[in-house]
Amino acid sequence: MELHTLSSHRITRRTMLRLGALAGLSTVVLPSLLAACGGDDDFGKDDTTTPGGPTATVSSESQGEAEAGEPKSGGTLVWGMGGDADALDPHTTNAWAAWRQSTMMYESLVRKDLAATEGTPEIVPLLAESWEATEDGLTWTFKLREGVKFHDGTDFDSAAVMANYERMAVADSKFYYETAWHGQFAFQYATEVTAPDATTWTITHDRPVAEFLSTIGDYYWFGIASPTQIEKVGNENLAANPSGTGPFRFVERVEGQRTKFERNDDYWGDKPYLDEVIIRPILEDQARVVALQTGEIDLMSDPPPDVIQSLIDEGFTHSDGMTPQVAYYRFQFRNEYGKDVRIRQAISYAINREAIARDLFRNSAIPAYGLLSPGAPAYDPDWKPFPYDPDKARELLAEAGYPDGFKTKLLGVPTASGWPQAGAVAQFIKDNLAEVGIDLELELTEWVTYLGIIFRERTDMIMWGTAWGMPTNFFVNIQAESRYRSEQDAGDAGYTNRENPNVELDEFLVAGSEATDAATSNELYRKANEKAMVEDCAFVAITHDKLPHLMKPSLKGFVHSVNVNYDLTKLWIDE
Amino acid sequence: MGTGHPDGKVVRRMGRYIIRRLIATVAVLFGVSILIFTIVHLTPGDAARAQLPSNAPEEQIQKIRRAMGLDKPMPIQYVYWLRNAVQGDFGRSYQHRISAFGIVKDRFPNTVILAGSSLVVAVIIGLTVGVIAGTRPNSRTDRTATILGIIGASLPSFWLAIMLLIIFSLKLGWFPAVGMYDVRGDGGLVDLAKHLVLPTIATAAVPAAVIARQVRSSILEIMNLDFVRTARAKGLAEHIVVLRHALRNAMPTFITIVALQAGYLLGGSLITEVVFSWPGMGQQLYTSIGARDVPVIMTITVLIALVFTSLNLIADVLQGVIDPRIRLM
Repeated sequence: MELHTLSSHRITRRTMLRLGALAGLSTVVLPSLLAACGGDDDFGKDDTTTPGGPTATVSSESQGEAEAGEPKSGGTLVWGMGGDADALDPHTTNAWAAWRQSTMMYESLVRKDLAATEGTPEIVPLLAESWEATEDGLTWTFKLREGVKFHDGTDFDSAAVMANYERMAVADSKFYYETAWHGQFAFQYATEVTAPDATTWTITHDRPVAEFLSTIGDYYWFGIASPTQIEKVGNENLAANPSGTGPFRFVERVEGQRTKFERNDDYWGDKPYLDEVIIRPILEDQARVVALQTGEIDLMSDPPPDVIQSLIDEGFTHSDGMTPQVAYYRFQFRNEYGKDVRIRQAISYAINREAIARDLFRNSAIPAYGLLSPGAPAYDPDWKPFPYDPDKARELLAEAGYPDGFKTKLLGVPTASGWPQAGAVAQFIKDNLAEVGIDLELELTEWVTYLGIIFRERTDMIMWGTAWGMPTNFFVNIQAESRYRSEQDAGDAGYTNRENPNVELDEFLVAGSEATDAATSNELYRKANEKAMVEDCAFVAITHDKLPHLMKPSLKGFVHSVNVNYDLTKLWIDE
Repeated sequence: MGTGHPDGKVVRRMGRYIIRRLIATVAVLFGVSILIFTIVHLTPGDAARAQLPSNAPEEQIQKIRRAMGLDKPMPIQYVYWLRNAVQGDFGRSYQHRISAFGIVKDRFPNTVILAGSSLVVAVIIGLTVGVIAGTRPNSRTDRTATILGIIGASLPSFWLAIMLLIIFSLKLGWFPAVGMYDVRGDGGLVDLAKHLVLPTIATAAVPAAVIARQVRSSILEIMNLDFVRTARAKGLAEHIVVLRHALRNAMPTFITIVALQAGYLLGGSLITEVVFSWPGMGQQLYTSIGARDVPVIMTITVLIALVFTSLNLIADVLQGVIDPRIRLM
């Protein structure tokens, strides 16, 4: 069974068209939507297409200019980001700024198609040319690309894949690195992993893992590093001395100033147009905006929502899209109000998500109702279970015995990288809840303090929030399947965990993650969403951020993928 | 200096004084390290948890915690830290997974450049304004200087920094907005100087105002003393009275205040460094505190404490050289 042709074509298209109507106003987004449809068709037919290949001509159109001209080679891109990368080690990092950089250097066996801008991206070949799963869905066999070299000159082969797998998952291997935690979700069901020959790698699970390809294709956290380099510099020093197979090579990192990459002229695929990419962390919003205006940076991530329109008016090119991110709050079931489903639902009705997305984010986010992100296969843009309805909220509160409301607390952060407007949203929710009589006290602390205080014992609060996500259905398992949660977890809110599982929800999630048929799987995940978000109302989702980017008009070829990283090989400068 | 004839006794006394102060410096560093270590550990938050997504399973966090040595009681962790630190090993940054000392070593010179240029600007402005205002008490110049001083000392530095950015970088386009060098170029002194101007002004505003105020009040005090009257009575020109006699007597206070300001500048440029993306210790401290990156926080704070106490020691010794009255104490 060629799994990567079995992607959900029809669903993708339908979803895309629906979203296309939504985005129809934007002349910037629409052409890229159509472009993505074109790319889609090509991928289904041609197994050996290199990623991004068929979209090379398409990407320049995505800038909204009919006469964009031929891409030119050369030039340096300076990219300003609002957060600094922690470590440039794909197996250990936990920051979006770092994903964006490590994906320039490191490649996984497969990846989500970065040319897709809406709907569920296809899985496309990368270091694996092809793959197949056995009929029972237990064993995956990957045929690896030949003739690929790491940046340090080492040949890429199945031993390299093995070494990287062992680095994350095999405790008695010489490659094992405790901090390389990313393997925990994807490799937890592995029973046998083999490398029968230099170009074949297999992994066998003890249960079918339908989204295995998707999980190893996400964010490239399974970026394959040169085993020679790992041995030479040691596990801990790989972050400072990266060596992958990707289109860009690491040149240098000057902490806090810049990280520099250059084109990998020996790259196996389509070589980048750009000579160099320089990443600059600029933490202060205002300074980042001025740096774009003065030309000190060419491309800016994380613009403050308020300035986006004025930058567009000044002539900067704007790009945003559907991201895997979801900002949500988790209800504390041990709180005296949080334990009542009517109160939880009342709160969900009382929050005006449309107004948050429109007024606070200036439409740089869309309202969210579930944990499935717009990039997940089961995401349904028409599913909006909690329309803003303060009357319904008051009714439910009266039913629960609190017609005059009550006083409780929300835990959150004032601001955090990857969770834009966190504090402002909390304030907005406070105002929304005040309208239905709930007096919400905000306890906002900076991120790491926050992580230390969301203890399970915090029954004085009704909810705590966070923001992250993956463009997969499996993300819901990580959030809401009992096997991934324990009563001992700091953030456990008493909804479901190993000690007290929510059996009904588990059934949907387990069956959904094991179903090898996409339609069945998606149906099960939608039921899980309905159960967790509406029936039990254990979470309240607020927004999906569209991760807006602004760039100088001469920068061409930027395609806003559904992921958090972008295909930089297609970027070129028209000067 | 011409005054006084230091004999052997004075030099010996001076030597003993310096040794005493050095011992005190070590004690201060020890105290600072315990204090900061305790504060960082008592602040809620969890460096191990910060390595993982917000609701990672507890077992995984425990694993990381063990790998980072955070499962041990705090005093034991401190003893480990101290043992390694006295051997020159300041540990590995939790956040960046590279040597904490390496990070700080790279950033220290950048902060010294910014703090140094700010100090020079603050001293020139502070001294000039202070002397002018102090010699013309209650004149219009004095009142203007006082008002400007109050404004300078009370402007929030992030606000001033952002204003400078918007006016001189965005509107006028005179200076670059962020960083130390143009990342596209190869750097160089001219490039550095251009990047240095705005952060220097933003950083120098407060110390300039503080120095001006101090200089003004000590000049004012000295101008009323007998020896100044004597000098004037001798018929010396006013500028000689001010520069040779009054200013020289104001020097000890001036040196102390400048040394203090220099120490504060090392930590005080934090806000400016963050706003202008100046890759110094302040910016690093800001992100490291956010990530509870204990090895880096410790290295930076101990280094700042070391520089601060050293500057004070140097100031005291200099005072002794300039002012024989202090030497004999």
